[in-house]
Amino acid sequence: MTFATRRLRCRVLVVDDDPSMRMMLRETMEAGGHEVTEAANGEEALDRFIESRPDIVLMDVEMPRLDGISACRKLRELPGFGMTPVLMVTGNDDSASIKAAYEAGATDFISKPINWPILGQRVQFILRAARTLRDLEVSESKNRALLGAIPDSICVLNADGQIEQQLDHGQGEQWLPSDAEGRIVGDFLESEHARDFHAHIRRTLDTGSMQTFEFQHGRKTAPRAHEVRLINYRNGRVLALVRNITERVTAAAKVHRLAFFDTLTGLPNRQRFLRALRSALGEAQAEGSQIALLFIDLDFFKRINDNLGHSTGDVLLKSVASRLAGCIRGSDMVSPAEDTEQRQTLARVGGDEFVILARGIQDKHDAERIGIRVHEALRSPFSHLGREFVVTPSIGIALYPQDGGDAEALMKNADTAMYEAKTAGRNTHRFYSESMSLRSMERLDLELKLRKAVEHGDLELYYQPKVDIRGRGIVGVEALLRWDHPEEGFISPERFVPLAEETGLIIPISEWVTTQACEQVRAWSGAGLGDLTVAINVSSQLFGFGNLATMVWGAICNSNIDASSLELEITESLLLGDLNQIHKTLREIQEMGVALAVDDFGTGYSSLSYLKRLNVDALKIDRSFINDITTDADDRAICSAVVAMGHSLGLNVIAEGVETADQLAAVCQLGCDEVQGFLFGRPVPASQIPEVVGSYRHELIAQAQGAIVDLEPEELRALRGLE
Amino acid sequence: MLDQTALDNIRALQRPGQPDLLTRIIDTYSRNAEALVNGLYRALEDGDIELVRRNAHTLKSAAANLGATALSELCRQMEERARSGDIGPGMDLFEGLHEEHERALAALAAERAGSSVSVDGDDEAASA
Repeated sequence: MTFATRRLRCRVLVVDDDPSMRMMLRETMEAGGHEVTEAANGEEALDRFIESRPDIVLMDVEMPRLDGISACRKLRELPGFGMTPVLMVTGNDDSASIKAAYEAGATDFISKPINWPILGQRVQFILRAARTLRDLEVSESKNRALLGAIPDSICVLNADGQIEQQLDHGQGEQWLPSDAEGRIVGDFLESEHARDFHAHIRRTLDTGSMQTFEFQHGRKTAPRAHEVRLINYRNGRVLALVRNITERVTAAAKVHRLAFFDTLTGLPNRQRFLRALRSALGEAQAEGSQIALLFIDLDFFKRINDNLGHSTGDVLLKSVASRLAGCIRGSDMVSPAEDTEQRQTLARVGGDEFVILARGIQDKHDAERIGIRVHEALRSPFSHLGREFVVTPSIGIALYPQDGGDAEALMKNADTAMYEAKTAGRNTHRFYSESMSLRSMERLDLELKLRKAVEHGDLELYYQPKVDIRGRGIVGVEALLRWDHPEEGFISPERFVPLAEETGLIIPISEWVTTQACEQVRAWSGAGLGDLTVAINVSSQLFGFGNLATMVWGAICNSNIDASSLELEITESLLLGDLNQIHKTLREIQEMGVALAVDDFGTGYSSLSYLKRLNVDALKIDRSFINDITTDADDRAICSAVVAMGHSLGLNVIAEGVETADQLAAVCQLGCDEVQGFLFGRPVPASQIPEVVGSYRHELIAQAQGAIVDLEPEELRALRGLE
Repeated sequence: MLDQTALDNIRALQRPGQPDLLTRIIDTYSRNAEALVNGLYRALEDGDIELVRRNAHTLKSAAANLGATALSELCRQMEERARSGDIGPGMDLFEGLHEEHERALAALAAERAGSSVSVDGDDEAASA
């Protein structure tokens, strides 16, 4: 602390009722270089005091209208003036008033008769002491402000952990009660934390270096995390700064969750999954065990988001996620994404893509079992806001070590396998095989070609006749897509239609097909074939849109045909997605007068009750049943059942893929209404249809309806006459 | 008759170039003292003990300041009387006080004039 040695120039307030005294005081003070204000009594003194804010007050005790003692007391009560030195001028040997002056808060006294030179010096001393006090006060408030701003609670502890001094910080929750001084810090903590705390105190004192550690405090349901820093203080004491870091910890956990977990489903995200996968691979390599990766893609999920909005999509995704989690859980629920033994992990890696990592599998069958569980879990429809949704998975399975040595290879191959599953018709699973990779490259190539074909109009429609068994002959044709590629040659619709569905190209293609078919009807009716109906295949992808009806209606109107000339064939197995929307669209189409047939019947998953609801006009028995109808009793039984059921529902039943006279005889016997197949003609361009119709042979039917006709191969060929 | 030490103390405070401090003090004192003595008389007549005490107290210091020690002493006695509540005999004390007051004024006037005053006093001052 340095002591000011300069003479201080200050403001002095001189209070005395005797003017000559005031004059003397003024002279003395001015001689010292100070500035003087006067007051004649206590009341005036208070006014002058507030006005001029003197650095010191010289005041006589005896005054009329508020004496010096009372004035002093009042002065001290004024806020902010508590520190101003007051020098009372007391009577000679008047110890009563000296005492009173002290009690009123006077800083010092000088008794009369005043020794004038001494007075000047006395004032200097007092001013210096006052200055020092003021500096201290400023320093103190700075310290207080500083301490108040620190979010730590601070206390001084001795080597035994006893709290010698406690400085509260007044910031939110305190971990110590305010009267903890004297207590042992460990008393406020759980035993393990207390031991830890004391150990750190000892270490701080022994090493002399700062120790930092954490502890938990508070209720079990809401523990508060605290960070402690212990600093060596004087004389074997430590300064403990304790900070509540619960928020920081919570925020860090939140960031971690955001970074590694999907916010919608709570499942691990791709990042975290890759980490888990790499670690699992490391373990598997070390143990020599196998791992399976199941890539799960939800079929046509984009449709739901596009048509019903993301909020519905999100709700469905959450339900799907929870059902998938159910697949992998053990009997105890531990975490939403891992089973009790952490053998399987589920993650969401894309918009509608999930993946399951299965550790320690024995063989392909283990992996397949998981896949089947997934199918099972998603089988029953999801209900949301009164609607029902069917969501099916396409699953691709890759195994370690056979299908890839690292995370990237396995992910890629599982993805490729999943793609295969889609190509195979969706709602199924496929194991990866090398040929798939080749196929996937081919697929990409094909996609590019298809796009070009659509743009350039390289696709064509061929027509295959449908024959009425009761003798009306060719009653209609089915329109089939044909793609003759300049280099590749003929590309089967089985190859490119799934690809078109995958890429959305099916939409422009279907529009074109519909328009084309309608124009063809128009053309044929002009050519005298007005009774021919044209059936077109419609991808179930178009149903979700709700503008299928509009599109069909547009085509009908534009070509000015009778709606009943058009027939739509929809595949049984692909009635997925929003069942209500599908139903609505179908109804609209039927109301136009367009006929509806269910194609490939017998191969799909629709229930009979749903079929009843759909109210279609015809069923087409899948060719796979017709194929062995003459040799396989089961196939025959199925066909028989389908016919019976169809008829009892009032539907036409059509047999597809009739290639031999025997098959024809069989289906006639069973009572089918119509037949289609190579026996009656391959698909041909529109231009050839009039000729086909013209050269149609009724005998075939007549013969079939009788006993089985034994014909020579050449005669059969001649009868066919169309090859 | 005046205590020169007190007067010297005042003289010591004189700042060069400033008007004569002692003169100013004496002038102020003279006016003030006159008022205090008159007030004291009236207070005694009225029986206002408090006022007696206060005036006596004030004059006591003022007089002492200017070296009029005898006067100061008499004032002290008056103050004591008043404090004890008994100012019955105050009046005769006042006689002596008043005389001393006059003498002090005269002495101060002489000081003011710059010359030392003899015991006999100045004719002017004595007749005031």
